[in-house]
Amino acid sequence: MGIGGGDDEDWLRGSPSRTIAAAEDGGPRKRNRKIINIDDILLDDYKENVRKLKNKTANTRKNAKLKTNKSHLYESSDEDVDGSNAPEVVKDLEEQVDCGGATEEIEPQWGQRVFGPQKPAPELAISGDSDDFIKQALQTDADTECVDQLACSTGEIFAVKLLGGPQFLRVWALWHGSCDEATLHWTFHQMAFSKLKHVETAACKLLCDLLMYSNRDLGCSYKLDWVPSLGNVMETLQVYGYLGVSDSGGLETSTNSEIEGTSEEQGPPMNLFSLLKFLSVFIATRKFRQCFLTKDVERLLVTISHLLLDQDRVTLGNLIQSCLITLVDSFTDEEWTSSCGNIAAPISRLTTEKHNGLHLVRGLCGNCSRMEGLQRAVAMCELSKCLSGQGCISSVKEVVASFESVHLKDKGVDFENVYYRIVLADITLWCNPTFQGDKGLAFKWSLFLKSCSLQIFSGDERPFATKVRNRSSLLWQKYEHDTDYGEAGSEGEVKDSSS
Amino acid sequence: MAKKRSKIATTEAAAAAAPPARITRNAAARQLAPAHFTAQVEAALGKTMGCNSALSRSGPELLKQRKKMEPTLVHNLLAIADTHGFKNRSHADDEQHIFLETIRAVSITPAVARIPPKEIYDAILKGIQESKSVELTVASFQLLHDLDLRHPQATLRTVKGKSDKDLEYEFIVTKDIWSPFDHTFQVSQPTGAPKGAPPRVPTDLYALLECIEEQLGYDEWCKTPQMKIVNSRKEQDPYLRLLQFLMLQWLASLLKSDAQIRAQAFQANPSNNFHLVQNSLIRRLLQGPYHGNTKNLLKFLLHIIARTSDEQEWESKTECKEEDMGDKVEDSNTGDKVEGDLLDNHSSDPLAATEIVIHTNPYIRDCDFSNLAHTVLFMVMELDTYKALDDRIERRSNGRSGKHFVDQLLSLLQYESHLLEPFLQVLENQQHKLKIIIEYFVTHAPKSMREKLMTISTAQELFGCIASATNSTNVCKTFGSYELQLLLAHAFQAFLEIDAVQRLEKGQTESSSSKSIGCVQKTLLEAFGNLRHLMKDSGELCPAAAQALFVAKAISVS
Repeated sequence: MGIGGGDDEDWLRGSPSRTIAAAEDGGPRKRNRKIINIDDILLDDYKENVRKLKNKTANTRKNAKLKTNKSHLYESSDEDVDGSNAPEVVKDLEEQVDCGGATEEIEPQWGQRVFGPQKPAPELAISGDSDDFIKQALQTDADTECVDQLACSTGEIFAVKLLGGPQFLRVWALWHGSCDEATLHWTFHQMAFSKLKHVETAACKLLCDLLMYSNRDLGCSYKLDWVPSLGNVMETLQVYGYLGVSDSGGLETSTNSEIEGTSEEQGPPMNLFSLLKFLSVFIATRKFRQCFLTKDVERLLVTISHLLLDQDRVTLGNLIQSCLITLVDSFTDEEWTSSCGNIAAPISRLTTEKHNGLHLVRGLCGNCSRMEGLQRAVAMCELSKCLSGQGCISSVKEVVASFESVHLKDKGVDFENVYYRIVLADITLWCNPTFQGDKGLAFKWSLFLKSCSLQIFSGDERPFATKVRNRSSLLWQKYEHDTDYGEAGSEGEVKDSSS
Repeated sequence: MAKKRSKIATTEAAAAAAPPARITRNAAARQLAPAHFTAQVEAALGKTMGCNSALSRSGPELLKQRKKMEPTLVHNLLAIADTHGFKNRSHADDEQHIFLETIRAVSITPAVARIPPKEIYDAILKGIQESKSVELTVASFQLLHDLDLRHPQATLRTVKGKSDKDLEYEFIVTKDIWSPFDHTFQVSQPTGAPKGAPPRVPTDLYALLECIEEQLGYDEWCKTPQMKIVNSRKEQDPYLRLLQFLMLQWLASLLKSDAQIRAQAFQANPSNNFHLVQNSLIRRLLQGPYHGNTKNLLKFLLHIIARTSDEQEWESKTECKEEDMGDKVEDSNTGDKVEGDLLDNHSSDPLAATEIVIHTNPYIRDCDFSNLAHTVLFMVMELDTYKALDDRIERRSNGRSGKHFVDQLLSLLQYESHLLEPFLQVLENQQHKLKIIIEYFVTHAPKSMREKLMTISTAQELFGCIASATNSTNVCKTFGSYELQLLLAHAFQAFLEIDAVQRLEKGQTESSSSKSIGCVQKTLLEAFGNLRHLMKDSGELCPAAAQALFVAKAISVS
């Protein structure tokens, strides 16, 4: 049957339904079929997919289980579409979306697994003289003369009560003018591992108080026979399931294998709160204690910074920050000049992802100049990472110079990378005395920000393009404002008014 | 330690002409010591303020300057914070993060930082009220805290002395700095119906404490000490709990830093700087907007504080089975006794075993609220101390001088005596504790005893008074035996600690004061001996009393 041999009018009048019907008849099939393949089937298939996607989206809102809408939409569409019918077009579309067909501009959610399962708490063997407070308290069950039998059944319970009750253990310890090793050891153990929260907090308080009374800077003369070493603190963190950091950066793989066979409790116990609180006070006494090696304190600082990456510990933010400030303050001026650099590199190695790095840098804020210095140093390390082997950045000049290689008109420009670099560079440069002193650098930086804000089209659909545009526009204004008003200096300074 | 001379001048009007008082660095440094450091009046004023940033504020950080924020900058910043019309929550959160970051950049980091005006604070607080992101909330409060450190309303400014070694401090109040209490002071004059829906978490201290008290659940407390809580805890949104905690922490820290700076100035020159303490935020709040509600405020604080010991019971109930202190106890029957002992003597009460609390937010505990409530209560009680001291300096004699708030606390405790135990336990300042205990005896004792008790000022006299058998009989009729033991045990603890800290400060050894301790110990043992004789049939020794006796014995042996 020739093509022209059929009913030409039918073909001209053909609505989709009629053409399909005609195709089934076997009339002018070949020609019709060809047309249907190109236009209609794809269209129908696409419509079908969109309809299913809509249905599925409604379901996801209810379930709210999947991580992002984007991944969810297309994953679910795969599930629904029958495997044999699934056209490759959908897959192509999906790939296009992943490759940047859409403008998904939200920074990925930061976070890293910092704690694994807990290990069983170590057993505490109390040694020492029978004169030790804790030994005496533990033996009270035998001593019926001084304590009523009804009030306590075993020595341990009595000792715990002595600690968690009306603070008689503290009074007793203070009255003696010194505290023995066994008691301090026991108290530290209670603070770190007791599951009774009031005992844990009371132990933390007792240790902090005794440390304060032993602070010779305040003219106190209290004597402590034992203080935990930083090794003890690190061991405690490991019992909590801290995954640790290897020297080369990243999580220690060895610890992962050790996790097997331990208790199933995930994440650290609430005692972490007390431990951090204790550390804040403990490290403040560093100036007159010989037990801290600079290297150990540096390591501890990196560890505490690592906690900032744990999303589940976000409510501990204030405590972590105050702990970091105490740690940073405990260095002498000479130590700090070298330590700041020593600390920045390992902190930066804690994570390989850019968004985690940025979060870490943001977390290292505080109202003190050393923290600002550390923040800038870590930001520089992160910047070097963003350059992926193109060089190491160690000065403000290099920070600004690194942006010279960014060509915004280039089609293959990685805006995501540029975005992180701009934000990190801002942290490094803002209020940096070296940067402020060099007007040439400030001009170059301002020029780059201006070009970002002007050369990127506001409707640019490449990922992070408009984000770079908006952020650089904001920063440009910020730096310009600072130059305009900053030079006026203290003209507008507030006169502190008396009431 | 080299003692650098420092002095405090004041710019507040009345004391402008006052001769500058001098304090040594050592005295100022004492403020960093824990609450119960010394018994001396001068140090007592500053000591209990805890280890906050008072000194760092008079350090190099204060050399940083500040200026008003330019109106254009304010508008630009507010434009960032304006997330109206954002459909995607994460975009709005993202913008709010940028807003917070920018404020930090212009108001904290620079050497000449801009003071954020009220509008900026409002925008931060609005973000807190509207946000659903924990991270954003924590970051917002962290910023507010850092802003307070960078731009405190009241400061001691370091100025150059006559020589290099001289340090002079000048008391400064910067009116341009906004504080959330400004709003409270303005609201005291009713201006009509409040606009819009009530905020998720109130920024007013009184309303906030009321909310927290309600959330922690206190409505169903039974009014006798033996009958404990009846499942009054409500199920709480963990996020709201976090918000309330952070808000209370922020407000309490603002009040505390204000009180601390003023205390430092007052300590330097008690005869001329009393007005500084009079003008402290906490006092102005109690005298102004909360004037009619002071008693309620104290009640809320006491209720929140009481959660500590209450929580102990809940927790020990749920967790002591896991506690491996049962190692020593092999028998399962004795295991039950372990649990019972940890529950003190209330375990026999069937009501105590009703329901078990599930802690929804592991990092905000009841005891954290309790600690904050204690911080606020302590500041209130300190106001009495200042008043008493000022009355003494001015030679104003009045029987109830400096006991205004203590009186209110006592009248509250009269009706809710179950609050006494947690209150005494949480009280950090031993001077306050002793004062409260003595006042408690004076207020509640039978008339015949009152006159004698009125003359008492030390623990030794108190024990002596109680020790005499006739008095004990009288006292036992008025107070329950549990209450009496508790009071005596805490009085002994306070006495011992005050004594120990005094000796530590003077660098004395324990032997030098053993005589006085011996006397006290003797009278205490005598008092308890009489008590136990009297209560042979009724009641047992309370845990606090057992501990007191144990420590008394241990000290005498050593």
